Amino acid sequence: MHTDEVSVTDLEAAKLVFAGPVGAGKTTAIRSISDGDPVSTEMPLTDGPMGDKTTTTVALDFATVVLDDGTPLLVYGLPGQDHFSFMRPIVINGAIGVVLLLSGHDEDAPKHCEQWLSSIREIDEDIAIVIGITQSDLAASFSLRPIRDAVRRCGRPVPVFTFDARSRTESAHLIRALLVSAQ
Amino acid sequence: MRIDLRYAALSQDVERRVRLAATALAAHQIRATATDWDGTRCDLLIADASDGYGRHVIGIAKRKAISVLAFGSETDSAVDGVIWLSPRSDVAALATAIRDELAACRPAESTRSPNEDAPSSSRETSGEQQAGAWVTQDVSSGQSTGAALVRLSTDVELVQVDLQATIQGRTIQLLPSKGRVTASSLSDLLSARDHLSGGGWQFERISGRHPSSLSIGASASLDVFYLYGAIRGKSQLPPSPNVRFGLSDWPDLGAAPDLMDALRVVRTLQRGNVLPSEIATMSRLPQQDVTACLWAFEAAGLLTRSGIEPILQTVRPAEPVRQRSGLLGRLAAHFGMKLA
Repeated sequence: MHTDEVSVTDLEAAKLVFAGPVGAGKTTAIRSISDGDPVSTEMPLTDGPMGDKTTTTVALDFATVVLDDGTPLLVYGLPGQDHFSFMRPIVINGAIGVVLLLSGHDEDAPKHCEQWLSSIREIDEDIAIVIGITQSDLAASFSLRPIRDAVRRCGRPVPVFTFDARSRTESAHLIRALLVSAQ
Repeated sequence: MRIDLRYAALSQDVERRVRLAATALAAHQIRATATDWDGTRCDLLIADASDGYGRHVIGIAKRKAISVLAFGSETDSAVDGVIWLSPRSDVAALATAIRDELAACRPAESTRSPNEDAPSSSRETSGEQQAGAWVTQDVSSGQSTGAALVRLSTDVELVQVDLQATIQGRTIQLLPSKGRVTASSLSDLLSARDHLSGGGWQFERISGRHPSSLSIGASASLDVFYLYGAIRGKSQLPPSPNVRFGLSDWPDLGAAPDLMDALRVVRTLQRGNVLPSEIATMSRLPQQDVTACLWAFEAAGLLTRSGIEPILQTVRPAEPVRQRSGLLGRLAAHFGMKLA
């Protein structure tokens, strides 16, 4: 690297990870708090090339937020698909916390909650986690109880918020809860 | 029967006739309020389809499945699926059209006695009640005085029980089993919320499956509902019991980003076994605000009391987090919070 180039890796940087199944609203939430539109990445196919196709677009989102003192906050959105689970330790390692998003519209949300909490804690047992549930207002039968029960089954309690991923203030509030629970 | 009418894009003269027609519905035992469209759910919209804003509002109302009476031309292809009114309709004709439209969209109502003043959600559950799926049992015990939040926290008949609650003709469903509160309209929800610190409530215990036919126009977090109600009526609430509190579950505060004080109270409660006065001191909040939060959290079943091991007391700050407390502070500041 030339000396006049500045990379975020040269600075003290914080990392925040958004995780959760496909369709939970990770990209929307990241967009709502970040300074610009998140970018997606393309990754090589894990099983090698399929004919001419050597890469596939994975739903890994990346965005930055510059804190008031210039410190960059690197925001990552993990791919929701199970077959990209190998990326989780790579992305989560060193993060200040994980925002786990679930869809209130998804009947399997409690199951996803347990799976993701276990998966994240296998990577970092002590990492701060907050759970955000999107679209709860759209599901007439939505119930918070099964998700709270799932959290209890996984051990250490974490904040569970229903919120609107499109709202910057509500997404920011989720991060406040993450920071409070991390103290 | 209580009805919320909204109007949009009407001329002054037509608006006056609509308001008079709403008043005239009292002759049919219908207590109708007619106000400007504000985007929230209502029972009926009356709008001028020849006006651009009126057509826009009609579109929103139709997406929300709200009945619409429209002034304009029936041949207007831009708007369909509405009941048309003549701009020259007099007050009596408007009242008749409103009453007919309400009867058409609520057929069960026409079979009721005109003297009944049951809220809409009760009406709409009648079919399921006959099937035994949705049963309510009056548990008001003749007590209508005392702050609803306090009763929901202390009355054994009401604590952590799914309830249908009525205040001033507005009915809501308090569903601690789901952590949700529902109502047939947002206005019912907001109006009920503003009375949570007062008396005059009637409660019915709900048993059975939530009926699919029940009209749920609004659904919200029960924790946030209680919290906003407690904050708004904090001056009416009695002091919290002077016992040591802890948290059994984190309150669902996601839809209350403006209630930062509640987050500060939760932060203190995380330590476990704290007195209300200690919470006020540690969180640097007025005692009245702490009291409001505690009553709200208590009603939502989120608190433990002295002698019971608070679950969250066992939370240990992770080592890497402690090492980066400065960074956390800067992060918190960026997202609008000050970490001590």
